[in-house]
Amino acid sequence: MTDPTCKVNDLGIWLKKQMDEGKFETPRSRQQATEISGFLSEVCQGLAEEDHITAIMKRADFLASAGETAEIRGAGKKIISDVEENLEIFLGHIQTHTCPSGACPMLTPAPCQMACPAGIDIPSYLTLVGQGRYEEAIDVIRKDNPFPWVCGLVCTHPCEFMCVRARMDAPVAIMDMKGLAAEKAMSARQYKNPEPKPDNGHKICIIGAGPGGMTAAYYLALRGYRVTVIEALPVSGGMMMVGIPRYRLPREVIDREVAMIQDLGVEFRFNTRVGKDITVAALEQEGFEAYLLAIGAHGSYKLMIPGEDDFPQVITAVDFLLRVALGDHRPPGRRVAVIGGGNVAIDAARTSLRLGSEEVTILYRRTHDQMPAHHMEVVEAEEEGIQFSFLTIPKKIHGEDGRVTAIECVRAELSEPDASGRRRPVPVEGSNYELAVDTVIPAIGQEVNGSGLERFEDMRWTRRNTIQANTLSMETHQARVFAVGDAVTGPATVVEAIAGGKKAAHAIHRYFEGFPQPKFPRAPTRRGRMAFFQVPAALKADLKRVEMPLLGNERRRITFQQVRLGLDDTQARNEARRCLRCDVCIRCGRCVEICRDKMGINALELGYMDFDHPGKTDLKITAERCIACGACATNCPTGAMQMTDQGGMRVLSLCGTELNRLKLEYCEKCGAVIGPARYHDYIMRRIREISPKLAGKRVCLDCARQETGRRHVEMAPPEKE
Amino acid sequence: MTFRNGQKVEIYQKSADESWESYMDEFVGLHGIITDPDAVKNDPDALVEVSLDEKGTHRFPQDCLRILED
Amino acid sequence: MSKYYLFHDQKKCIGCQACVVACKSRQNLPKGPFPSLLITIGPQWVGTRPQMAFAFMPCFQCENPWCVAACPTGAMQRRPEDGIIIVDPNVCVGCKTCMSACPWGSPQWNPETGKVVKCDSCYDRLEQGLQPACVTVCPTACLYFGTPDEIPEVRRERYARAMIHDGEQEN
Repeated sequence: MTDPTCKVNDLGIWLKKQMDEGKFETPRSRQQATEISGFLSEVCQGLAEEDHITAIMKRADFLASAGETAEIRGAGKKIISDVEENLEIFLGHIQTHTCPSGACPMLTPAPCQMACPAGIDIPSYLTLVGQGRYEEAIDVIRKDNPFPWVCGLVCTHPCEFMCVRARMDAPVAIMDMKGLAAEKAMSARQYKNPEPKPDNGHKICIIGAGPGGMTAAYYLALRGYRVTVIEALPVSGGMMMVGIPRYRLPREVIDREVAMIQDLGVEFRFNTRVGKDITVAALEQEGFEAYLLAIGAHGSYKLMIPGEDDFPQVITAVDFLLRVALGDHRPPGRRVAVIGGGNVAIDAARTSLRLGSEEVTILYRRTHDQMPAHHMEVVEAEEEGIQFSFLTIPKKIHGEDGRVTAIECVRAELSEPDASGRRRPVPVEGSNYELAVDTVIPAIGQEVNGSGLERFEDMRWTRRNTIQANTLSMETHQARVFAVGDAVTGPATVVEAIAGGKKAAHAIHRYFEGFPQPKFPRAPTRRGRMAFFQVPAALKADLKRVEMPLLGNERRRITFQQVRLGLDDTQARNEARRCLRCDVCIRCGRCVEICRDKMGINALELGYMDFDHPGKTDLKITAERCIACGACATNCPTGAMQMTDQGGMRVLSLCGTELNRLKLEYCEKCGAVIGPARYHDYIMRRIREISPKLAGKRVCLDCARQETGRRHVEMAPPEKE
Repeated sequence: MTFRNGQKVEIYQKSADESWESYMDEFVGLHGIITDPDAVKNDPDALVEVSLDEKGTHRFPQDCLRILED
Repeated sequence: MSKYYLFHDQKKCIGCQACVVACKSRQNLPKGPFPSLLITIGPQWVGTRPQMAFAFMPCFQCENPWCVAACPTGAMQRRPEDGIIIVDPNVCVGCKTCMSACPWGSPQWNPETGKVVKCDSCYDRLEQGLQPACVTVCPTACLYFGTPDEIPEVRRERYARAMIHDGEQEN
């Protein structure tokens, strides 16, 4: 990959070069240029305010008009045009403290934040949680995601896949920390909404009260829009409410967070399906100026096998989970077959078990390892006694007297990998058998049900039967109509829907402001640069990922109580200290290189720094080898590596992790610090050949100089006059 | 090729799929981790979620992805 | 020693520090480092009156430089052509070993660049046929720079003058 370039950084480098080459020889212009250079550097470090731009322009104007040479005037003009052309990038550096290019090391977001579809500033909230400042953590999270509690329980947490700590042992429990923060803040009544902007009069209609629609509602309401959410079901939450079972996500969690959005003045209309209970024309008459379609993917794929449509005991997982979520707690049957290997299949199976079904079996075409469901879900289902039948293809549903009696299956084998590398399940001839069941729950996929949206005539649909939308602005082909969530992506995750909702809110706002829509993905916004936890290297290395306590298996099998019981303060405190603070350490590896290749000391073993080929990490080895020369800290572009003298010791730390600590020695003459003995031993070893006598001398640089000077002075008695 | 959670992948080519958007061109050559494969039925046609190293999380058609050996 | 020699005539020096300022400004240095330094001794009573003296402390450009031996990166090097010891900022990583190794405190720390700076006898100026910056700005012309045989034998001359002066007074 080529080196990243940033327009702000580039201008700063260019100006410095001009100055170094002596282009600004007159003091007056040189002063102006020096000041501009200083301002640019502050912009690149996230230390600037918006008036920095005014200050830069004022000085550039001076250079352009009153510069003494043509070259100076040219430079002034270049600065003006660079700032004007790239104003958004400059403002991004100033307002969001983010440089999406990665060229400004101080402004590079951590991999977890980059990975979060919603772009939450994870290192900042982890630190706040670790300090017990839960309500501030919630404020940070809700800048990018209005559902911290929901996501703290059920997010697919891409952040944890990208967590750099995973390259050492296991990722930081980012999701669980968020859940704890939300629970604590809510419980302390400190979970608060920010102050919304004044009403701007624009009316927005959001169709669908799922995570995508309600996220957009939240951010639009904060910007002063009048938002109405129309929902076909009698409850809010969308798939969070009717797709995710209560033992994973209690209803109160959704209700509480939705109530926060309602508090901002968002109007909800339930039991209202567009196209059936209300027409698009009627909405137009109400004066809605923009629409956001967030209808989800509530349709189900069919098995396409005989018997599927013949019995009421064949119920799709989506319909079954909806029914249960709306309060029908009758068991679906005594012996249940769930078909599919995904998360929804697991949810349906575990729900059946909890409702009292005696035997629940998941039938899946492929093998255990190929199940697309999340590993933890599979493990928990196994613990609860769900049966699995792998390499099993359903062929026919049998029944008598209008009731299901059995499902006929055929065993399968995996084929050799085909051209695309896929191993397909191939039915074994003659291996048909019947499994006696009284209920069949197909969970083989969902699709978007677009009925009712016909009136949005210009809107286009993809070949996957999803709404075609630009994934940066969430615009559809119809003017004023935006779309988000599963309706655009196909069945996806809660956090992706939230990310879409936030993008849509931005895009709708830009639409009303007349700004052009983004052409590139928006980089996430850094919300702060928190102080480090001071942690000894051994503790940092040995802290194991917190283990989430689970509800006892007996109770899990018979109730809808939350399975994952949540963390406590102490666990959270420790977990926060496992974070490597990649928002500050950008893993450029300069410290390692310098210590190993330039100094030949090799005291830094930080193999986690490499994404593609992570090596061994040993935080404890530094204390054995490091001479505390400080070259690593001096060359660290972000201040992650620091060397400080404190309490008679020289301490080397990386993002607060104390890697080495050596006793300081002092100048024999003046008492100034002269560094630790190990450092001097290193130097003595190097100069022993030419200076055998010097060992043992402990004088600081200033005293050495003074002493030498004194020896060189001839202080003679006054000459005669 | 079925993709599984946590696998390292490379965006090794542009996709011909309609869901490939022009801003994705600059992702070709990047490495990432599968964070949400089609979680239902290993559909080769489904869009899978990939978290790219330093470049965010996006959904891609599967024909632009290949698995990286560790 | 380098092939050059810098002689400071302490008798003529008035301690104005122009040499030190010129040295810093040539290398465009921030607060902190002094590649050359004028050390003030006194005032103290010598005989019947107070006296001050100044010692100019550039780098002595040692024959067997400890700084070069101590430097692990090869940034500190002795120019083979003239023996001047220079530090290559592109190689220096700021480990400061040279600073600790030098018995005279000659290598200095530039906090702005995170690298060491030192007196390099203005070798770039020498190559252009100029004198070192400190020498050119001295208002009393007390600094002499050149090969040892070019340095005026100031001390001997002064002694001779003093003898003559004494003789005149006695007359």
